[in-house]
Amino acid sequence: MINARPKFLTVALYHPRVMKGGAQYVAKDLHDMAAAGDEFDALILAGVDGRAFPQYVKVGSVITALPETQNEYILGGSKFDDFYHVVYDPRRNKMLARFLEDHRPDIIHIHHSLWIGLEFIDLCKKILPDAKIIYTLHEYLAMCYSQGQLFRSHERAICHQEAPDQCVKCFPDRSVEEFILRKRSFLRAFDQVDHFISPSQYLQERFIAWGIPREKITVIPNGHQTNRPAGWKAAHSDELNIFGYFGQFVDAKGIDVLLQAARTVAETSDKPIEIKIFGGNKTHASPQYIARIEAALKDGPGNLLVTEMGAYSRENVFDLMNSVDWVVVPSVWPETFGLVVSEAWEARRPILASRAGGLIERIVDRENGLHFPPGSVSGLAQLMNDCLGNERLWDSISGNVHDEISLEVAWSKHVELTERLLARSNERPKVALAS
Amino acid sequence: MYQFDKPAKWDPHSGVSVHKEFIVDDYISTNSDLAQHFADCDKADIFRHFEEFGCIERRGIRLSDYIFVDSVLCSDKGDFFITGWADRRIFKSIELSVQVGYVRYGFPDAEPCWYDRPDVNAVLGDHDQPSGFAVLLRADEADNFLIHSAVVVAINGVPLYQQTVARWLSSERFLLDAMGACAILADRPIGETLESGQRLHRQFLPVWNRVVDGLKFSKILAVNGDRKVRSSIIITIYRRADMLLMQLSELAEFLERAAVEVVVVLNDVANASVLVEEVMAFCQIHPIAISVYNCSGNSGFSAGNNFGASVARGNVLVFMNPDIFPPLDNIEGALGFLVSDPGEGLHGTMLYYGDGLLMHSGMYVVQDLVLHPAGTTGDALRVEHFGKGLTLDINADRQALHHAVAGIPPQHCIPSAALWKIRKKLFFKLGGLSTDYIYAYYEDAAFGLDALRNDVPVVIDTSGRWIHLEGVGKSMPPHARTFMWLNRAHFSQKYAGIPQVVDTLMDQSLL
Repeated sequence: MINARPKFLTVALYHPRVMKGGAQYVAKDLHDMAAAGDEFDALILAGVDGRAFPQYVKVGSVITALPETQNEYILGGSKFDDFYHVVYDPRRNKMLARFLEDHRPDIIHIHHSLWIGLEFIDLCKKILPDAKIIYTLHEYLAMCYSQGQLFRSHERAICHQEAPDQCVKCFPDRSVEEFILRKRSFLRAFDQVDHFISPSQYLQERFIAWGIPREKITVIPNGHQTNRPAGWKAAHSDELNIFGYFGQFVDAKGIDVLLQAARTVAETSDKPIEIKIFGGNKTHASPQYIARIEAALKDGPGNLLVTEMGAYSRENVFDLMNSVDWVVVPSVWPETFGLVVSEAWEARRPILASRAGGLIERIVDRENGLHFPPGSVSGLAQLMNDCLGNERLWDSISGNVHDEISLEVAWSKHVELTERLLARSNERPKVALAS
Repeated sequence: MYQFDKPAKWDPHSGVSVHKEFIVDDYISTNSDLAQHFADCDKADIFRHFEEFGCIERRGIRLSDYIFVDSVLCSDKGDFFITGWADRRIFKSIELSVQVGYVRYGFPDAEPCWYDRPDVNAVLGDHDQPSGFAVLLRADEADNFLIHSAVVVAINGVPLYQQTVARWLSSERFLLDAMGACAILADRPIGETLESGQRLHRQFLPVWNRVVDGLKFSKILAVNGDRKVRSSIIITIYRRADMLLMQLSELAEFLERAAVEVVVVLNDVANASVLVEEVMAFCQIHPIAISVYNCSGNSGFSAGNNFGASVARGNVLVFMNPDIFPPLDNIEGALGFLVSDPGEGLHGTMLYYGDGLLMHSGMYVVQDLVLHPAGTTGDALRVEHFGKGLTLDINADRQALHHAVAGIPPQHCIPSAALWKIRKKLFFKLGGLSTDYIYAYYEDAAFGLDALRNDVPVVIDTSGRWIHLEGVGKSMPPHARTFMWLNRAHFSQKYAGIPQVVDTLMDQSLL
């Protein structure tokens, strides 16, 4: 059967309705763009840990429809090898094969291997040898077993040299050989991917150094959907002393660095300082991280007010951004893109960001934001001190901030890439699933 | 000897006279059990009794101060493993007996393995001879042995260990625990323990054979079992099968199209049923010919591979470790090794580390003269590897490789069991892998030496280059250190002196 329009299958980890998160927002946005346009027939398949979200997994079925949607499906699973990123479940394969045979996508855009499995790429190539596979790298999972964050927990520092002998320092129970094999496993699967997309140049270069051919990877920043009301004007508090953190409450995000810096500033100043923390998933933080945060807060100076505001969503983030003067991105891992930067820029908030990963190329120091060394309490404290009540600085940066590329622009780059790949389609023979 | 009224003897060295006297009254008073016997004896008779029995029986000594049984392991098939220590100046020999319920088993010929126990020596004061001992005894035919709650172990007739509620270990548990207790011997220099190792290997072997004989292999998966194959790749896996799917993935494209089957033998692998499901899922995507057999325990490397060979359908057997992978580039030569016919030869391959550096290009066996502190010597064999330490990369050109392997003497070179191949007929003609090697180690070298002795051409195929992701630097549990040691002792006994083994001097020039 020949599809009238090319069929575009998005394969994501989670769906924003199941669990919110940057990668799934990006995947869903692109799917929505594909579904809304004339170029493609679109469908999305979202991998889900069925143990964590049993309500999305029907007994005996691996693929289920997301209620009250069209062409949006959940791929449930109950086991996943998080080291080698494989599943190898015969029932799942059977249903996935049928799903691919029924829908016959021309383009399969994979956004994750977690809860999808690298063997899914093999399966796609077996069932649909002519289909083009695009893979967006949202973090460094293929090269880093430490949650794909290139964050050395034992050093609390960015990993600049991923290598099997370095990996065992984070995971002493694993062997160098296992990490060699892990990399081979990813490389073998990735060899079948037609093209990779990186949201930042930093991530692109890391993966080229790791083993992806330069000609197979393109940078397309994550497009941003604006929520800014017409006629809105940027404003700040009178004291210009409210610093906000937006993101997950996990170790590599550096909330401890922010709080220690805030305390340092408050202890040496008589000005009031307010810190607002917007973020969820605190249960994923390590006990040591929580302990450092508690230590930073214990017996704090009276002029420091820290408030935990709870989780946020893209629907209310614009308003919440407006409730702070400055946005701090104190990540101690090399952020691949930094969705929070796009959100802050939409509200024209000046950003104080650690000089790490994709943040480096997006934020130009003293032009559209401020930089400090990742993990540096004194560096951040110095910046915060400069910012306190500094209207001139706020105005100059806020006035220089522009929106990240729009979702429409980002999607147009995806379409361009997709069409280029489809044009190169070759004539390989089709192979049926082994019975 | 001791005599009454012996005149004082003058010692010319010290210039002091020594008068030696048997104290007959003390002998009578401290041996009350002999009172009736001594009633009609004169002093000369009593002295004769002392000479004839009292000295040997060490009468008057509290024996437990000079001999001790540390632990006793009992198997439900009549094996006993006993460890302890003794002051060997008092106990020049020890004779063991074990009483189980109402049956006493005597072992007049049992020879314990003695080893140095500095902790005991320090107390006893004897620093000239080893005081620790370990002995493995077999009481009865396994099927005739009757277990009971009461166990008494006696040495030289003196009960030194008693249990009223004895616990009986099944054979494999007994084997593992007893070998674990022998690690203290295994960890010593081979010169000190070679003889003990050889003796204990003989004693452990029947237990090991019983363990293997009691195991069963079951076919738990067969996919494309009717496909015609020329070669069978046999992968025997012990305990952890976490690399199998990665290994199959890397070979998938080749295995789908080649006339090759994979035979997987699982030794003591946990969650074998989960693994089978995963392999089935793999076969849905990659329709390879594969069968999986599960062993009810750990049959060891030899028995596992021999079984795999017995069910293999190919005329050529390729034995492959589960941590062997093809190179990422230039894969053709590596894959060619899996399908080409070795003829009447035994073929190995080039093995490289995960980082691409040469691991080795075949093995050889070296015979060393080893020393026992007591002054005796023995011959211990060790296995060495050609090419170890050479900075030769997996992508090295043929000339560089040829240069590296040019010095390998073929009459001494044998392949590593990590990856080798042989015709099935020849494999069984040579007797398969010897199951005299407990669990693993040295059976591959033994097979290689047997091949050389039988004039089988042994070839290291330099066009086949493979990655061996062997774990390094992991400590071995005590029982594993012991079976490695026992196997080495047995291997040394069997092959020392044969011309295929090189001497220490020649070893200095081989690389």
